Amino acid sequence: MRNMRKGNRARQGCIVLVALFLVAACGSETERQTSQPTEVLDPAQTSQPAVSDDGGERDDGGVGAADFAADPPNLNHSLPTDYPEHWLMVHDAAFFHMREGRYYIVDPQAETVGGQVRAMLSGDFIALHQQSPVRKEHYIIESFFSRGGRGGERTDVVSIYDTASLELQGEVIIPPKRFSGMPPPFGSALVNNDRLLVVYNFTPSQTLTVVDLETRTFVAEHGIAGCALAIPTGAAGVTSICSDGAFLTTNFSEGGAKASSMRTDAVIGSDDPLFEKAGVIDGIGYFPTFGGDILPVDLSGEIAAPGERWAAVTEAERASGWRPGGWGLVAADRLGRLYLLMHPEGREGSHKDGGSEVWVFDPQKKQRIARIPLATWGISIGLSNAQKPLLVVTNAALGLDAYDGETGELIKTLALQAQTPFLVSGVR
Amino acid sequence: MSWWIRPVGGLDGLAERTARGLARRSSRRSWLRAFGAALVGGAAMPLLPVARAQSDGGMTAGVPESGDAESCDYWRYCAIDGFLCSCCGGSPNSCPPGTEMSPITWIGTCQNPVDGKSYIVSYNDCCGRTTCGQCLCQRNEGDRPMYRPSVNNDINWCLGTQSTVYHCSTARIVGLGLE
Repeated sequence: MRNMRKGNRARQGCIVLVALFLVAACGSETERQTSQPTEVLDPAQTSQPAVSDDGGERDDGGVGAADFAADPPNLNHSLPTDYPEHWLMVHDAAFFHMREGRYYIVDPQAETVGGQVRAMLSGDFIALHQQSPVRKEHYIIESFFSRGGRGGERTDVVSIYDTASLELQGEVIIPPKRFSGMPPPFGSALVNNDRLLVVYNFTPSQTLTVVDLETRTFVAEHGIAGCALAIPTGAAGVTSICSDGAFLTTNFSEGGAKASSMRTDAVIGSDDPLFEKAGVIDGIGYFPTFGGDILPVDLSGEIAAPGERWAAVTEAERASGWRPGGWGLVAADRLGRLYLLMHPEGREGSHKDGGSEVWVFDPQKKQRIARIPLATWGISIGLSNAQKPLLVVTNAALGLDAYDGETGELIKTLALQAQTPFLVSGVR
Repeated sequence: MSWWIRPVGGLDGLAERTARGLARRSSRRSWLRAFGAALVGGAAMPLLPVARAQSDGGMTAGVPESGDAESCDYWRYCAIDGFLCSCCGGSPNSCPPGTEMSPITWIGTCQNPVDGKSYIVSYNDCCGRTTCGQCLCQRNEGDRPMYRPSVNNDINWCLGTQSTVYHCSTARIVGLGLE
């Protein structure tokens, strides 16, 4: 097809030239079409010389030197190996088209959508994601179906990408059991200095898949009956939350075998459930409850150690129904502050409604230090890992509002439009 | 499955796209006014005298009915989270043609506005076709976190089926709750 188009252009050019010169030019052009791929411009209608694909001047009988360089083929951008600290990962689960999920790598400081979207990774069927600054890799835990929308054989895969080139480095096929549903922030974990990737499975049997990222192999599946999720804990463990209100910590050997499994007493009551999400600061996970308390859980050791609950709301606020709510409803910044998405007039069933304000806490002092009224109702929050943290709110219209994390000032609504950006986090 | 998307009910894909720009300039209150959306659990919509979508099925013998089964406010949907099968070729208690109902699922307890009784509702997902994408509904009365899966609606319950691809959610009455 390409050669046919070139031939047409060449013929048109030939028509307007002096006959003798035309014959000579057409003859030589025909020969070139069969011997080398070239981009041919019409010397009769433009003053541009013909050039070859590499931008060099083509010898076509006396045409002048090129004054531009043609675009080279196969030119790809790369990202920096270490991302700027203000960049974000935005998970668009593509709720209405679940096989088309994606992760945007976003520069929120840019003004245009082209400036904000630095790159994208696919994430099929509500994927999970981890990024390792140690290994300089992204891991997408995703599912593929041999017969597309109607299913067929399901293959679960850990897709491994280089953080700079975003080229696929390899993939590890894991048991087709990974948790499927709304993307939980603790659905997977990197442990053991990012050597092991742990994935939560639900079939509804509850287990953990362990992948050795050094060898890029699936190495083990460990049972965690009655418990859910994989919250990174200590040097080489994950903690799961159990239906009876206890925490279960599973520790791994260097290669991914189960080294120990330890369970706490039941500390979560049914009267005020604990969200399965937390802001983690210095190894302490701060888990909000439906009613507005915070349960700190020390995740720095070999077993999770729940601390003492404290109230994130005053009695007056509790009486007026102020509660945490949303999907990604809690986050922490690198300055050690805890952010909670809050709504008034809470009631049974409002725990995923989102909120009109973000409350900021000093968790060490157990004190609220700021209230950030949102310009638009929020359903999820995330923070950049920058020294000046950016608070990003997925709003009720599924736009992304960026606030100054320190002043609470609305900076902008990102130009990026995602279908269902459920989770936003800072790059690592 | 249970797919959560918004703080207010009645927002489908079209409304979502239409609303995007408006909501950026609007408060939650005007957001609600603009779309006449019912507050989740807030009973803001009047109950219709007839269960509209049940004309071709969906009735449960012996259970008095009221409401619109294509509306997120329909009483059986008090803990649902997903695309309503009533809008996808099925009904509150049946899957659309060609799909397969999941044998396991999560359970809610909803109060019937007609007889005032609480019924146990099983939210079986229908599986084996790509996402329905119609009548997204999210209500969370009695929903609990993922570590209590039998009462959690964030899970894709297309488990034990030939295909684990989620299509839509039903709301089957399976028992009477304790008074």
